[in-house]
Amino acid sequence: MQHSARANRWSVRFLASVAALAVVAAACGGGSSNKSGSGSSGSNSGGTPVAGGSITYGLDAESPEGFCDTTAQLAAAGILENLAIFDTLTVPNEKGQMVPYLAQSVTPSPDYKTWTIKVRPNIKFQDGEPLDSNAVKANFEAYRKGPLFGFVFQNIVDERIVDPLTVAVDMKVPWIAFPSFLFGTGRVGIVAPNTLANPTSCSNHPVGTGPYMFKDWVVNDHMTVVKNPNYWRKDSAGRQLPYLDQITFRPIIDPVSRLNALKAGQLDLMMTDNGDTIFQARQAVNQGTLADVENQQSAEIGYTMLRVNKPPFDDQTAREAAAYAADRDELNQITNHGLNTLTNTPFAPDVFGYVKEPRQPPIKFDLNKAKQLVSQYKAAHGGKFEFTLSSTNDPTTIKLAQLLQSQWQAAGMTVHLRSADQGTLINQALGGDFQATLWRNHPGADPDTQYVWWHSGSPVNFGSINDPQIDHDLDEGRSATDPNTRKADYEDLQKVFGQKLYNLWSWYALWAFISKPTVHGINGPDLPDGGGKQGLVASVHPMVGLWVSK
Amino acid sequence: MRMIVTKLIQLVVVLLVVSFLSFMLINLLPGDPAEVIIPFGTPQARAQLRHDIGTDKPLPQQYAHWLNNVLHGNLGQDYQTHQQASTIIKQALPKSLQLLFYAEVLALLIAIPLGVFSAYRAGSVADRIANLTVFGLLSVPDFILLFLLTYYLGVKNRVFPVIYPTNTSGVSGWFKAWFLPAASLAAGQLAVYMRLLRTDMIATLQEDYITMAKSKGLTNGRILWRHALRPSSFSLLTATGLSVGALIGGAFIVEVIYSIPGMGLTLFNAISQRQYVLLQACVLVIAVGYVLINFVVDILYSVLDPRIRHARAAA
Repeated sequence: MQHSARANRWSVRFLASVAALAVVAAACGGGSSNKSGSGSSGSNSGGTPVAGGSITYGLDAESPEGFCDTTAQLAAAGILENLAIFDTLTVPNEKGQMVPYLAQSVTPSPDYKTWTIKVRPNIKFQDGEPLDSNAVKANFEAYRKGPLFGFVFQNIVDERIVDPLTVAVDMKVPWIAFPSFLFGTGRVGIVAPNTLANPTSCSNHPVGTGPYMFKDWVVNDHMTVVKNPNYWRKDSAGRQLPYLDQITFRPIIDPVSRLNALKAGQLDLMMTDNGDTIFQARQAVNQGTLADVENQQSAEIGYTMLRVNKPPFDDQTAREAAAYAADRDELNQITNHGLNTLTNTPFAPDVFGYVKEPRQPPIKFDLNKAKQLVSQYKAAHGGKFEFTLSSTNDPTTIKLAQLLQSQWQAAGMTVHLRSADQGTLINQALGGDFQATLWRNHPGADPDTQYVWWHSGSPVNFGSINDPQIDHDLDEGRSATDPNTRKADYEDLQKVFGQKLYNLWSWYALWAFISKPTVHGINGPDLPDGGGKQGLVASVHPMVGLWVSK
Repeated sequence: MRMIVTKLIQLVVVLLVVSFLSFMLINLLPGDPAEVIIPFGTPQARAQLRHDIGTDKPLPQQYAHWLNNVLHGNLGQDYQTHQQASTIIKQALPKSLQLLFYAEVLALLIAIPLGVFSAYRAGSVADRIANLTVFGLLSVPDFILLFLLTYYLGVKNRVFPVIYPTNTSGVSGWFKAWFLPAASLAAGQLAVYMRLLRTDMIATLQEDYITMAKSKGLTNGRILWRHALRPSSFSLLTATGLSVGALIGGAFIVEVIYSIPGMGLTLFNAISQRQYVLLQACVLVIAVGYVLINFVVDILYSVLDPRIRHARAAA
């Protein structure tokens, strides 16, 4: 792959924007005592699916850059919209394992340096183009040349057409988790080659192989997709997919308005990661007026990201003091009604190599211990322990930042707050212009997908972590063919984080898909090759299985 | 006629100032505007943007280039949606205008009879109740009122939609669709309008010609509506023009809460998503609209009050 230094900078910036989607901050998300994991409730247990009908789906944001998967920055809402139009080559199953989807097979060479992707026959894009090896190659080229994924796919050397349905992808180093990157948290959809050449058309009139076809988009108002009559999938009972005739997506920024619209019957389904909204929705669910599916499988982690090559957090004493002084239970109660599940690692329980308590004994809130550490730090640094905590400027995150400030100040630290819009915060992170910042990131079932965020050579290693052990674990974890070796690497990685406290992990993000009780199929139909349903990943659920009962 | 020409010249000067300030929005961005507007764009896209907005030229030349485009209906391209800003505004502006119009009409429809009645019964219990009620409405921020109305009339009783419906059918559908946001905005305005009209009306009712009308046996209704209302409505007219600014401000929040894809929501998203070209276009359109509305109000004075017309003509 030939990239100029400048090209790499855009890649870095764009990759950073992926983090942006998550930055919203540690304030959001959470877990529940009764619905952790890929739980499902009434909305998914509706009996036999019926064809027909339409729904209006309330989203938490507009996607101003449009819907071209290869180039658009997409937040959670945009990814859901695109999952109606595009399919990915692989998807996760309920165990978090990647299985072929648009691909019929994804096969590694014995040394994992070449992956052979064969797509299913007789699939057409919504504009009539065939899905073949040329289309897959064109997509790889677009993703690799584009600013968003060029950096992610930098391990790819070349992709070769083997036969009309098969492409071989050659790697620089063995890449065990490559199928996870083909899913890319639902972001790596296969786009119709004809539209790839025209960015405007690709953005404003997306064409894929997915269950629904783009109909219209009025910015800030709605985006409508209609049933793809030639969709390649049938459900396990032989019924043609998708079931619905139409989905209208409505961006409704305010979560209270979104829930009100659902309760008033103007929406059929909505997404949210807002703790207050989930709390209220659960009351309606208990009364039987609404249904919901909540997910924290392969969840993002809310945390405080530290700049560890700058004072004060270049000193482990300072990091420990901040960790001991933060009362996460109180933060969780006040900002999220206590819905969040606290974590001491960057991986969700379903992630390969997860270790529940990587540090023994685990750090718990201890104000006296924090005060001792603050005194110790001050004694060694001229009597000062002062830093700025950055965050996005939404009310929930600012509240969290203020609470953290008060807790840290109670331990003797001087903490200033700085808030900015998401784009500015990312630019600050890219430029190393922060000391501590509230962040949210790291979804996905395979830990290798986190490689770029923590490896010392990576420009998007915002915290400037430079730890040979972490580098070793990430490098070996990417290429080791022995699963036990990989597992040991990622267990060790979490232990290093636990000991060194490069980041202060808070909790898992919780996403809820709240609906009328008549809406079903959020977990999707069974996978095309059997083996259960598609697994949910953070805010991503399949759109193909949605249906409404009468 | 001469007065209108003078006013028009003043209008052009004000519009030029407004357009220059809007233009400067992008030029005041720190660093290279192209880097700020499309931080994740390719060098080709940034080069195209510099060419489009002319940042490689001297400032006066940039302004002339931009103004020429604006006068030809080209407000620039939004580099996120890949759409023309004018296209986005053409979709958004009518919705905001409908909301503002509905809110103004609703406020005036309630404020005028209430103000007249309150002045006629000045000091009575009914007057005090009316004053108390409108002051109560004035003290509640419009977005709080919208939440309350939404909850009770939308969620609990399902009388009105709680978000802007994408499709409405018929005239009654239109009135229902816009009622909650319009009523929220109108509530604060009607208090101002009613109080202004009441004060002016009380003064008018002390005039000799009103006493003369009464002595001639004209009915109260005729005196109030035919002879007292018109000369009492100048402050109301001024307030109606000036309040467009307050309404626009309130509409921004209301549009976001009610998910109306109007200028307020467009502006909100443009700010939060750093769509600077679109933001500049929105600011320009809103500012020009505000200036034009107040120009029309200024002209209307002379229509309403022949004394002003004659005085200006004599001058």
